[in-house]
Amino acid sequence: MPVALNPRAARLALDGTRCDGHGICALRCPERIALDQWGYAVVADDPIVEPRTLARARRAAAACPAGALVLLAPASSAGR
Amino acid sequence: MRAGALLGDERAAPVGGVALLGDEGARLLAGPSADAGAESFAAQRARLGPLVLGTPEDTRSLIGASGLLGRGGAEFPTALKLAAAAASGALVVVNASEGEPASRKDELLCRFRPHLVLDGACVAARAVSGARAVVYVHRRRGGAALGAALAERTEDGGVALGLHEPAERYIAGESSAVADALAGGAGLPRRRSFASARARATVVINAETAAHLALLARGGAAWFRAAGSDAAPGSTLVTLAGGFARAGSVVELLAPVALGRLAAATGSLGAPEAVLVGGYAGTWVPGAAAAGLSIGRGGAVPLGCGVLAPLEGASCGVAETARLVRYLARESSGQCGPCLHGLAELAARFDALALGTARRRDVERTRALAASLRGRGGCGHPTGVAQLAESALEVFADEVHRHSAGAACAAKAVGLPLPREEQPCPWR
Repeated sequence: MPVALNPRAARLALDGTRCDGHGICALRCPERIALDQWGYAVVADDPIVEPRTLARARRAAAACPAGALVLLAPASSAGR
Repeated sequence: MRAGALLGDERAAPVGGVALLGDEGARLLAGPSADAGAESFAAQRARLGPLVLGTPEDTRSLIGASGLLGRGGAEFPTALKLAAAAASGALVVVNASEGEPASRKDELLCRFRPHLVLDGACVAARAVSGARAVVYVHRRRGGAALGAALAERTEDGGVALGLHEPAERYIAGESSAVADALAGGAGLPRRRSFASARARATVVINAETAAHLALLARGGAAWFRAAGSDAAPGSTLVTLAGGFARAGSVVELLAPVALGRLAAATGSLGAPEAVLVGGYAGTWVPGAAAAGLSIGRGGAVPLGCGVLAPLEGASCGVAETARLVRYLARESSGQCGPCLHGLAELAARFDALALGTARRRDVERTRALAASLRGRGGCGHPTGVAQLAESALEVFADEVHRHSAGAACAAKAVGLPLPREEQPCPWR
């Protein structure tokens, strides 16, 4: 069953098929993103409400060279 | 509508709620026995009556009222899935690729009840206001029978039906991979939230789910809910693999049944040390608990793709699991680092366990590795393998302990079927 989303909060989502382990995202938003033992992103997908975290998450998504990370907008399932 | 053919099963319920192909009282498996081959269009219409499709809204309401959960593994409510696709006039894809090595339920439906599968495709298409449906099926695993069945049909309900041959790999049956293949892609998993517009215009349902739709459209929601349980209505098919006496046979459960009773009803030879439930990326259940385990949709242990595989008497759970992990690791689509690297390392660690070259701390690292793979990657594959690995480490803890003390595996027989083993297993 799909996890119910907080319609007022954004969340990060990783496309594992695109992630190539560049690691820039973890530098931009360490409070939500870490790297595993092979260098690939481990992304926390819980809702982001704190404005500074949100800004860093947005920068992390924009910075990914592989286009693997998106910040899903509230109450939507697509888009950056 | 031949209501009697559907209602009759309530008056002649199969023994213990377990039915084989052709049994009176079965639902999906009702009708002629295997000797008769595929049930023809004419014979099916004579037995069940015509397929009458309502409006898309009525069709979706009916499916919602039935409470049907998908039979492909995830048990997602079919009504929700079809409602999400309804606005786009999506292409319905019936997934009969059945890449799970030991599973035979979808193939059996395609070979012997092809018109249930095709009728179900039409019902699903009507539910999404679509005009096309495709069955994704290997020619030699029921596709040929479906092709012959297509040629027989004299009514199409306004739905154009076709077939599509999948690639010969385990991951080809993952639902986003199916959608990708139908959209002209490579047939590898794609993240749904990033899916291309073309891939989004498909909705994938399992072949057994489609067959249930075919009967539901005739019998109605109340009839449908008279089988199964309140939480997971309807009958369900399981494939008995490995140690069960009639390995490879498919049975229909009209209600949840204790595994021990299922084994007795189908002629199993005794008490297995453990049973793998839900497919190879499933859950090991210890033998002591297995006999009383309730088998059915929505049960304590997820039924997944419906495979029940007891551990053969002469086999070792660690060695068997190592063999399965190696197979599943090889079948990774290789698109995601954690899956490609993580499963390869997990396979190497299980090989070491089976060979007796791993030590106690390696066991803990193996457990931690498996846990770290949950939820990673672009599809559910690594999570499934993690589930297999973690349950093995728990259920076969004694064997794991012996192996980690330096004892190589003493197993002589290897039981669970795998296709085309290209690499020799190090412990054989």
